[in-house]
Order: sequence, then structure tokens, then C-alpha cells
Amino acid sequence: MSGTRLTSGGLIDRARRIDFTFDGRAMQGYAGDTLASALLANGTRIVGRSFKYHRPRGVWGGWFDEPNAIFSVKTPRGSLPNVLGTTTALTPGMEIKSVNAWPNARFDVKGALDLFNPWLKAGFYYKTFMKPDWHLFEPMIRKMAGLGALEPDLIEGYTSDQVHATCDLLVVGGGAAGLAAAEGAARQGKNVWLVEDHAALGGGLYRMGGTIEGLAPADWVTARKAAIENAGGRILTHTTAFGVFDHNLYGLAQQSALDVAPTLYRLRAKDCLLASGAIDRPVTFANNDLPGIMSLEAGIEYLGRYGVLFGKAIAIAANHSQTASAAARLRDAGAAVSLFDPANGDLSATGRRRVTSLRQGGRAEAVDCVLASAGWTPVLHLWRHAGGKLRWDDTLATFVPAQAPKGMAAIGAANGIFDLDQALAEARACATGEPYSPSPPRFNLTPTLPKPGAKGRQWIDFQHDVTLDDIALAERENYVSVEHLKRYTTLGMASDQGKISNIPGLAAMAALTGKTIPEVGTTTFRPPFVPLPLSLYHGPHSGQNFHPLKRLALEKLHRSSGAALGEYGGWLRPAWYGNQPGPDAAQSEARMVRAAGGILDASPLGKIEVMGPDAEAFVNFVYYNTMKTLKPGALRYGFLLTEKGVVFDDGVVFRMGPKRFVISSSSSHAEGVTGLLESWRQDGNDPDRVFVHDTTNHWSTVTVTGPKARNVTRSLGLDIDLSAEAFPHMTFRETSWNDVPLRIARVSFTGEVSFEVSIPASKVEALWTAITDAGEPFGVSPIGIEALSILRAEKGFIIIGKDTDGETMPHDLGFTLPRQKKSTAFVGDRGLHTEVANEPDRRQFVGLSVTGDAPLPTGAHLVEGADRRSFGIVTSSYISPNLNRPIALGLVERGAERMGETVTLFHLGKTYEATLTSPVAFDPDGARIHA
Amino acid sequence: MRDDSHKWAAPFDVSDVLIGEVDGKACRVSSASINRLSLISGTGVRTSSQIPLIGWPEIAPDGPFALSMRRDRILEVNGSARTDGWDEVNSVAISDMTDGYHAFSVAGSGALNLLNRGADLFLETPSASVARLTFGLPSLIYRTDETTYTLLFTRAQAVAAYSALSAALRHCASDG
Repeated sequence: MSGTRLTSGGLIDRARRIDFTFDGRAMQGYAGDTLASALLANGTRIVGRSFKYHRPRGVWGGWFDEPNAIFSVKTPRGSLPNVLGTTTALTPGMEIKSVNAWPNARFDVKGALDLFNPWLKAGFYYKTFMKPDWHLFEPMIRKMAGLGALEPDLIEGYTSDQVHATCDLLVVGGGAAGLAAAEGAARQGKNVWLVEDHAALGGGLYRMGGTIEGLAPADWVTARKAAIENAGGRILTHTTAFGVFDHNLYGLAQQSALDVAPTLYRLRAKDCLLASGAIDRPVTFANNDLPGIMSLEAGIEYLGRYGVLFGKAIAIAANHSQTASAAARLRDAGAAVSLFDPANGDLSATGRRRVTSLRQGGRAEAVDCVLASAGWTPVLHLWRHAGGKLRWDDTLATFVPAQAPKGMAAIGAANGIFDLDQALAEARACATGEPYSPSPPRFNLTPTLPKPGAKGRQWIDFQHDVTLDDIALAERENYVSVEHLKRYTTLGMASDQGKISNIPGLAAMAALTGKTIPEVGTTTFRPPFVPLPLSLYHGPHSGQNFHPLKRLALEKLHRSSGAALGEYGGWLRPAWYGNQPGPDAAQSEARMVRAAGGILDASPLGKIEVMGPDAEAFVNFVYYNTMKTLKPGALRYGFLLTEKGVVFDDGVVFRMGPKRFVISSSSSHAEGVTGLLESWRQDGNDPDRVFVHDTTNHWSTVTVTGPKARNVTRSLGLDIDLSAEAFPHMTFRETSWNDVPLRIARVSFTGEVSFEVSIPASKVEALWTAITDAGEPFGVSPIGIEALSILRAEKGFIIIGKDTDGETMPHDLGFTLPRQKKSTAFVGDRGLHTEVANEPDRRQFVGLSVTGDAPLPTGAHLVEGADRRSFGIVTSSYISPNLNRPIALGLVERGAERMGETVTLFHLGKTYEATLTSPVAFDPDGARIHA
Repeated sequence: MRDDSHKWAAPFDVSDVLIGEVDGKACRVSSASINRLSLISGTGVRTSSQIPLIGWPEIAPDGPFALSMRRDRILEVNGSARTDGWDEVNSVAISDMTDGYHAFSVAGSGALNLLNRGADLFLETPSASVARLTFGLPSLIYRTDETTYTLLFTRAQAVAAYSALSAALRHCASDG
């Protein structure tokens, strides 16, 4: 024996030694070790300090159920925090650091906090640190909270591979039941995936020694593995099934090494067999958190899998039917073992930095290790993710599967079958559909649940320092709902998410309230089953692949023209052109448009076709404005409303023919409007008589606007008369240019004469070049969205979502006439008749005239009274280069009847003055638009 | 108001080709040429189509064919020229979408493996519709032979699609 490592046994490779450090001390392990097994083999008792009291803590569990062994780990590639020691493979050169301790876990200065435990009970932070001010204590408390720290060499930026896959049957768990089931199903020709989170298959087979079906465990596992793979099955080790999602989607995370990004499999499995096993429940007794006390399962797991015997004088506190065989295994390994039945009386451990004895009544045993088990808890997280029900089993003193979710069955220990031969028979039958007659279970135990009022500090949640007294306190303060209990005490909120603490916590609350455990209930099981790095979810979808913008067909030309590109409504669009600072460029461009003209890439404008025999009635129905009177060749501005009557989008409707319309939605809402139209098409309308096509991507649009727009457009040589008389505002024409279909509309978002020229996107570069070349002699050149925003604000034209909010209705914007004239039903009509819609204090659209040269801040509130009650907000604000003064738009209570009123505005500690005016600041008669 | 031009890679050229290996299998991504796309909607349009109707995972023929999109919608590929609007005779709505999509060809024995990096797409799971989300982007996917797939993305999202395909291919090559 070297330290506590045996010279033989386990799955480790003793030929491959691995050097590592723990809190600066040099140690050795072997290939196949986890951080925890290597530390135990080196005789390490204290692996960290508890979250609240900084109590010394040792390893408790053998796998994902571990609450204490959480480390910061530095590898040759960098550092990672929050590394679970029991599931992480040891690799050469690791520098392992304990967390929540200074200077180290063995001696932690903050360990003195434990002396103050009477004042730090559950919810203490709701009751203390109130005077003189919470903020006085907050920095110190925040500094002390948390486990681990981010190091400067943190490993980040790695990306996970993400793979979509499908199979007939997913078997979760590569223990005996999972292997037997996967083999049976694969032999039947099913496409089987078996996932196992350990590096090696076999589950708990290595713990107990002996043989299985006449073979040594490793040989039996090898035979099953070969059979599965020969039959076409796929086996993924190091892989955790961490969640079940809609439509049989299983999330699998495959981790090859700590500092290598895991692979995410999105697996669609027709069926799933849950062979996820069971974990040990802690026995709740005084000082049950002392280093040296671990689960019975973990004790024999470290022995069987890693060749580590953790103690020489071991007490086993358990009474189930596998206790004796575990004791025999430990004795065979050289330990002196004493047995304690927790049902025979209260247990208590003694020791300071490690357990030194276990007492029960008058009996006391000097020990260096206590292995405790109150029984087995099936691992049913995925079962619950999928919607499966649970049933409390009094015999096993735990929850077991009840009503199964569709396509899922639990087998083996996950199904509460803890006898190996029975589990194998059940698994094979379940996988193959062959008949199965279960025999009576041999596994038995005498339940041992927490006893409120028992002496000593009894720990329920090790990581978050929740004790039995905390549960009792929660009950006294009426936090008896299981969800309230969780949040008040933080029970089950640690990184292990209550895997070992939930049932003791529920049992304690049940005892305190006189209810049964099922009556207390369980908290909600949510994915992920184990903590996973966020990089698993984003994979390569980072940077510009994370939320990609839509791109213009003209982007290359814009870039070569010196455009500054920015996001506008989900599109990457020119903000301005040239080398000037943005605000200056926007002013110049806006001035140029009023003086001569500008050319805008308006391609994102929606082009949504509505066609069919009912197209006219449908468009009339979905629009606030009357559209059925629209003549072919004409356009009309209008609003689409939600059912509540709120403005969803504005835009222009083209009537192309008797049964064909094109809806030109605002640029950022094309997909939203298409969706809205589709939903109304299928609801209350005949979907066989009206059809909606979003053709926005097929067409690109170049807008020429300004006094010289007609001259510039004329240079295209189109076969249509562009004069104001022949081609008036709010009409359009269809023609061709260079044998390419072209649509040209007189519609304006600047208040100037404008021509919107649309052409199939593949031809727009030629059109843009022709128009910009033609514009040059007239002093007309490209403009960006920033200039357009100024120009439309000068005219009081709204941008939906900027000048409107989630409550704005058409009459708030001054559009009451369409509603009065409309004789048929329309979407949102009922909403406009509600009390809310007709309140006199509604916020209405106004302009704000500013005294002085400084523009109002967008977002500034119009305020009144000593308490600065807000009665409005500035929605848009600019310096108008054409009016040589600041302009602003806003939504103001009773705005329409308050014109001329001087108001006070407040923003970030500053006050401003402005006068309420009409929103139209430039060319109020609209003469220029019709020129 | 800021210039974010540098945050976004300039659009790719249609002549650009991506070549790599996915799970040890060869894969090539390039832009594909399609002469005409006509979006056609109408009751029974899927059953009345005079040209082969392609769902998933059927292999499209060399000549004209129609992609099945949903119960009342097809996308005719390289079909005859049609007039946009409501077709009274056949009771169908027609829109030219030739410039509305950008087509990529993903070819090679590793093609499906690459697509599986971004799409729930399996040969053993047939579907009447070729519509899929690929790398989170709406797309139409069909096969042109055993190991060649054509992907149609809306024109505005072609750069994003190319970037995602490129990133996935690069990632597979570097193995993380």
C-alpha cells in the first residue's frame, strides 16, 4: 500500500504515473484517476471549505453526486474554475487549487466564521446587516461569496463541435442494465446509441467484485461492448445525457479532456431506456460533514475503480441488504470494518478536521473513515425532464418511476431494481419486447430519515451549509412549500442541484409538518443534469455567426464607396458615407437631400405579395385603413394593428391588380408582417383563396429623393412619363430597364419628391451605378440611414418601435379618419373600443421645439410636480441642418390639446425646457413632396 | 451612431470554394447556379405539378423540378417562365424568386456530416418538405445525387450561411 493506494485492482494504469499539485503540494496519480481519487490516494482529507461557514470538507461522493470536491484547475492550456473533482480525469501537470479557502483548504483563515454560526442561520441576510446600511456590508459579503475565481489565464473562446444525430433507441447509462439492454436492442437491428458518462463502461460492476454471468466484470463488459458494436450500435463514453427537450430531443455532452471543449450532440431518439442507475443518500447525523465521512457507494467505488482504500478503520453506517457485501469487500482490501445500523439510534461523529470516531448510544468506535448510506435514490432527472411521474416507495424510502413519459422507460437501479440479476432480466426484456416476470426484490432496508430536534449540527446540503436546524427554522417561519423551502434555505441550489440533499430535506420538512414526503412534493427538475460550459451551447455560433445580420446585395459597392456600416433593424446598412465623423456626415447628407437630392439603398423595405380571389377583402381586413377602394397602380399608407389595436407596423400597400397586392412593410418588420398575415390568413379567412409570398429578398430598391430626383431618375431612360401630372405622388408604374422587370413608385419618407426603384436583386448593382453616375452632375449622391432619420423627423414621419411603443394606437398618432371611414371589420377594431384605448390621458405624438442650440436627449422624460411625475417621453431628437435648430418628437399625455405649452424635461439629473408643437417641422404644407 | 463595418466580414465571392474534411470525409462547399425559381402557392399545387416534386431525401433530376415546401406551396426550380400574380386558370399565386435565394452546393462523402453540424437532417427521416433550419437560418435543402446537397438560403442571409458553413468546416478541420 502506498498512501491509501492498493498495489493492485481498479481500472487505473499503474504504468502511467501522473504528476500534479494540490494547493502547491506535489502529488502523484495514475492514468485513469479522477482528481478526487488521486487526492484520496495521496491521503488528502480536506479538499475544500464550505460555502458559508468555511467548514473543512472532504470528498463525499464518487461521481456527479459530489458536493465538496470543487476546484480551480490550471492545465498547460490555462485555468478553469468550478471543476468537479470526482468526474474530472487527472492529466499531467495539473495544478489543483481548493476553493473558498485562504491560504489553503487545510488552514483557512475564514474558518473562524463557523464560530458565528448561531447568527448565520438560513435567511440571515434577510434579517441582518440592515443598519446602518446594507451597502456598507455588501462589498465584503460579495467578496466572500462564491466558489473559486476567474484567473487571468482563463480558458475561454474554445468552441464545441455540435452534431445533430438520430437513432431508434438511446440507452442512457453504460452499467450492467444499460449494456444488456443496448445489446438486446442492437441484436434486433435497431439503431442503438449507448451513452456513458464515465471513461469506462460497467457502472457499479467494479464495486462489489465477484463475477457477473460467470465472467469477471471487465470481461463481461468487453463482451457486451463488442456485441453492441458488432450489431451496429454506437457507444459514446465520457458522455452525459444532460437534458430532454421537445420532440424527443436529447442533449448529450461528450467531454474528452478538461481543457478541450466538449462536443454537443443533439440527438433525436425515437425511444429511450433510462439506465442511469442510483446514488447513495446521506445518513443525517451529528457532524455528518466531517472529512472522512463519505457515501458507502463512493467508498467501494474508489476501491473498485481506482484501487484506493480510503481508511484503515472504517465504520459503515447503513442497514440495507448490500451493506454486508460492501463490508466484506473492504475487509478483503485490508480495512477493519465496524457496522452501525442508523435505525438503532442516533449517530454522532466526532473530530475536528477529520472524523475520529462514530458513536451510537453507549457505543463508540475510533475510526478514520465513515461510509454512510441511507439507501439508494434512482437518478430520474431525465425522466422528469420528459414529463414522467414519480411515486414514493415506502420500502425503498425514495421516489421511483411511476407513469412513464412517451417513448421512455426506466430500467435497473433507475427503476428501483437494485438486484443485479433482476436488473439484467428486466433490461433485456424491456429492450427486446420479450416477456418478463419480475421476481420479488431481495433488496431491503430499514428507512432512516432525518429526525428534527436531534442533537448536534446535522447537515442536509453540504455545499450550501444547510442544516436540519435551517429546515426547522424555515418551517417555523412558514416557508413550508418545497419551492419556498429551497429558496429560503438555498437547499438544493448548489452546483450539485440537490442530488443528495433533496430527499433528506423533503423528509425533514415532512416530519416537521406532519405530512408525508409525497405531500411535501419535489422541486422541478430542469436541464442541464450536470453543470456544463456555455461554450457547449454556442459552439461555432460566436462572433458574427452568433446573431448574423441580413446583408444587402449592394454591400460590396457600399464598402467601396466608403460607407460606414451599422445595424438597422437586423440589416447591415450604410449609416453614412465618407470620411467625416458620423454626425457631421449625416448633417451634410441631410442638407444635400433638401438642396439637391440623395440616393438611398432601401432594399430592406418589405415586398410581401398578397394574391388570390380574396386578396382585396383580406388586405382590407388586416389594415386599419380602407384598402378595398385602392385602384390598381395606386399606393396607400396604412397601419397594421394587433388585436389590441396597437400599431404593429406601418407601410405602403401597392395594388398590382384586382387580385394582387404588394405590402411594403417597414424594413425591420418584413418577416413579422409576413407572419402576421399568414396567421390571419389561416384564422377567419379562407386559406385556399388568399396566399402570402414574401418576395423581399428577390427585389432590391434604390430610392432617389430630393428636388433633383426626377432629373436623376429620368436619366435611366425609362419608357414612362415621370412628370408630376402623369406620375403623381402615391402611384407606381411597372416597366423594364435593360430588359429587366422594374417597379417604380412615387412614395416618400423624406418629404421630398422621391422615386423608389425596385429591380431583381441580381441587377441592382447596375441600377445603383447608373443612378449614382446620373446623380453626380446634379450634386446628388448616396445617403445613409442617419441622414434619412433626420429628414423623416423634420417631416414628423414616425419610425415604428422608436416613435411608438407597445401601447401606441393610430389615434395617438393623429390618424382617426381611416377608422371613421371604414365600414367593415378590421384587425384591432375591438381593441380601439376598449376603455384603455379611449382614456383621455393617452400619450399622443407631438413635436418639441427646443429653446437654445442643444438637442434634447432621446429618452428624456417630460415631468411635472415636485415628484417629477413623467407625462411623456422624447422618442427622437436631432439637430436639423435644414432648420438650423434642434428638433424632437415625443409621446405626451394629451399632447394634441397642449400645443404651445412649455414643458420641463428631465434626463440624468439635468432639466430642459421645450414647447409642444406639431410633429411636422419642415414644409408643413407638403408642397415639396408633390412637386 | 457608429461604424461597425470592421465587425462584419465582407461578402464572399460566388467563385469562392470551401474545401475540407468532416469526420475524416471530404467535403466541398461552393455556390451553385440556378436559372429560375418560381414560388407557387395554391390548393393542390403539390399534386397538380407537372414536373417532379422533390421532398426529403429524394434526389432531384437534372431537368426542371419542384421543391415541396408545405401543403400548399412549391418552389419550381429551372421551370418555364411564368407571369407573376394570380393565375386564374390554375388558381395559383406565382412570384418570381430567382434572385430571392442564393444556392450552395455541399458535395462529398462528408457533406451530410457537415450539414449535421447545423441541421436536423437525416436520410432515414423523410419529410414532405425541404424546409429546414440550418445553423439557425431558414433554408431549403435537397439532394442532387447521393452525396451532393443543394442549400437555398434567402439572399440576405447567404453571407451568414456561408460564414456558418465556413466556421463549421474550419472547426471540424481543427477538431475544436
